[in-house]
Amino acid sequence: MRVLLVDDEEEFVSTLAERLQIRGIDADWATSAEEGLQRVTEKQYDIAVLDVKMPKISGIDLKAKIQALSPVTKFIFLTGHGSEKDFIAGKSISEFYLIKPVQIDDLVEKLQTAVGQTGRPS
Amino acid sequence: MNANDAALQETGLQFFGKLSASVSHDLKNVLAVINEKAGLLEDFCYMARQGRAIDMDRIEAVTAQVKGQVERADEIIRCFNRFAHSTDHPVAPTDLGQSVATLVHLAQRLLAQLEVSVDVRPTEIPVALSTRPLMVQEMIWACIQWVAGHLGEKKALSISTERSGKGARVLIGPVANLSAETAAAVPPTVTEDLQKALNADLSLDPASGMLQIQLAPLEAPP
Repeated sequence: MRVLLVDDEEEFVSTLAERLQIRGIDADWATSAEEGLQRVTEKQYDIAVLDVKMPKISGIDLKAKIQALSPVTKFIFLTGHGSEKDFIAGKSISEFYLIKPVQIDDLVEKLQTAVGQTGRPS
Repeated sequence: MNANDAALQETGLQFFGKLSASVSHDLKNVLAVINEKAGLLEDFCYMARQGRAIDMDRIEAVTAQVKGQVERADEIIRCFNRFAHSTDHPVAPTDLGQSVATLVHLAQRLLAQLEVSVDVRPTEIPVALSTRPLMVQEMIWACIQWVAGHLGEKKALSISTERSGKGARVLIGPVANLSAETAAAVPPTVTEDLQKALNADLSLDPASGMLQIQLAPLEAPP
């Protein structure tokens, strides 16, 4: 499974990627939308995990840009805040919508479920 | 309470709420980092129990990062506590330099959204003034937002404070491409009521491009 994590909090996203790699998941990370889009041009990802609130471009806008480059990529949104309105908006356009801090086993399960839906697990 | 006072109170609450929401977001992020670092240490323990070699330097580095995040949260909470106490008295002796530094520290996330970097110029001697501590930060924030929309290619602004007669002055800028229209529009984000309540005068210095907030001292209500 190839996963791209995008979050402007570098220590968070790099550590989360390392923990996924320990679990045998091919995880790359980026700290900005621009960097994330660059990764997508270099490699095809099964799923992208995006922070909703980032400076410059929101995770929701980034999703549309990634989707234009890679229509098969699935999405999970991650946020520090969990308002019902945000949850409904995020859930409607992604596989899952998770609130920080996340439990790694929960994230792995969601990743597997989402990628399983594509029929393209690695 | 008249309509002007009610409007001032409402905008003050909105400002307080905006900054509080940003702080809560920052603290959530700190907790998320600590959660991942703790999880990584757990992963290392599990791997060690399975007989895999673990790099002790790596464990030390992760532990140091956790401590770094605790210090980060402590600084955010220290600033937020100072900011919250600015509501203690309607008028109080206020260190303007410290108010600016606190505001900018707490607003880092909001400033990143504006794509602006802010340089707070320290003063050798504190610039103290009897004023409305929360409202003065509200006005400075409104001015930062306005200046942020009128910067040149280099999205950077500086803020300094200085004594000015019996009062004090806050300088924010420089504004780029200073036209007569820009100078005349200074700055729509600050209401007349707020200027009156702070006995403040706003002007744009055409030579330096700096937005100047001239503040007169206020007497504490009896």
